[in-house]
Amino acid sequence: MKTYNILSTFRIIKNSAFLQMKSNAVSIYFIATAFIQPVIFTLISVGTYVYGKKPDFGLFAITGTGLISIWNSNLFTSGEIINNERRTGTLSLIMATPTSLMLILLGKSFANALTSAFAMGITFLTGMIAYRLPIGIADPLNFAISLLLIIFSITCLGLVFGSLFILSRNAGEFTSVANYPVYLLSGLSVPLTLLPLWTRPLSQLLTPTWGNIVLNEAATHTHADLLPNYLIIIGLSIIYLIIARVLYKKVEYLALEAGTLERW
Amino acid sequence: MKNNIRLFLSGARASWATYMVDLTPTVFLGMHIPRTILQSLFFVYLAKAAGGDDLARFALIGNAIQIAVFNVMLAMEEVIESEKWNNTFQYLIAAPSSWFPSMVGKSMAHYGDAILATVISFAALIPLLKIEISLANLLHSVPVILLVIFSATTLGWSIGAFSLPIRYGFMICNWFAYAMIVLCGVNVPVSALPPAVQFFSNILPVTHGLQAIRALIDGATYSNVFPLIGAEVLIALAYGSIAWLMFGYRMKVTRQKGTFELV
Repeated sequence: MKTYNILSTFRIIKNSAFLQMKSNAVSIYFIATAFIQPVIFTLISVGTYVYGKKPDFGLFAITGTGLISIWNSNLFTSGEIINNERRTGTLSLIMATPTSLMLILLGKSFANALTSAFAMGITFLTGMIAYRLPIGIADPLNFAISLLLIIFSITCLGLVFGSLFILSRNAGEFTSVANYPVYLLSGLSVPLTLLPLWTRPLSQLLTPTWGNIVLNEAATHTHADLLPNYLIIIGLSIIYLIIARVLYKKVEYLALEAGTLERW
Repeated sequence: MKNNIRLFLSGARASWATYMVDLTPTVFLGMHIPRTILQSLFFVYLAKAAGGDDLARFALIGNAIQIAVFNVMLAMEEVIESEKWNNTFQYLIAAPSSWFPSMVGKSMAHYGDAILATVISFAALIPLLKIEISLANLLHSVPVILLVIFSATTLGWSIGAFSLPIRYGFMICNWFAYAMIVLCGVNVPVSALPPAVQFFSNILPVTHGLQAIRALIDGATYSNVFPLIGAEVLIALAYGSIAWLMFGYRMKVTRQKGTFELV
């Protein structure tokens, strides 16, 4: 790829991300989702562990809830971005521009995921205030690296789903179905050991599983070597990007062949 | 009376038609049913991880009811809000007939959907998690389950009526429905909540009814749980009255100011 191509790619991603961030900043819907949902989910998950006399699981529940919020926000907003573009009549225009739709969505989804990282802070605060849990992050540097990596990786996973939303007007229904299997299979707030053994390979294909592991290890400072897990997250992100690219190409081809997006 | 029945039936037909358009077989089988089961499953697994099989059983009963409460609350809020978005609110105001039978009719399909969600949750999760619940006792509690769903309906209506002038009614209702998992003793008993929070729990629909359902499933008789059922009925009536008055007030103000476009 030539240098100007790389630069223009980053410019597109940056501009899409800034546009989305501006849109989020004035969207009560987004702000409420990013701030209220983590509070409610933390109250439910940590409250259940505290009642079950397992407050030691508090940190596990909190990081899990934080990831739930990031994933939920990413998936939900991926669907919303497509729906909004469709509603405002700009989806077809974006599709017709020389710029790839995937790049625009990558920028927009990354902006959403980055903004929703506040959710992680909110879950920690809720745990500390509501349940007075003595929560601290033992290795803040690794925690921050893990969080950034997982945000990027979740954005890539969200792109795979995002491509499917173009061909369906039921994105809202689909996001509500796709949420809970990811929570369960990734062990977010619920230990993976409770699930049947046959689900393990599926769990390992999901980046939130590894994100949950590295965030918990960084938070509790288990002195584990996090590099292999970081590499897995990066590897999965690359795989998601390749799948998303293939799917977007296919979707673009279908739309161009039909000459309309109104069919879906 | 005859006209009111006709209005009710007409609303119910409209409700069923909308429901069938929204929920195609693919959406119903591929999305609606899996979401119903998976949402309950997540919270039940959470309880199982925290407190073993006893808490899982507690959460299963709570979540099988909560999923219906969740669905019905959102649907009822939407029934009211859709009048605004579909530009039919002004016709409701202008029509000489009473709006009440028509609105009750319009909620019927959602009421059925909520009952179905509870049935699916119990039918899928009891064998899946191998949790012991007596079928006879479960059937014994059906009238109270219906009461709780109706009770949640009134809260959804109230939120819809209050939030009619703003654009975020559905979102508010959504978070309210999630917050009820904490407040109404769905995953952990209300008695485990701080006293200040328990005050809110006790004035919300579902809390008392859910306690009655749990007791009935554990073998209690209706006379044992009569105070709980009575409290649930009173709360449902209170919220239903609030919703009725508030929606009437919204219509009156709109008629007086002629500002239905802004509502």
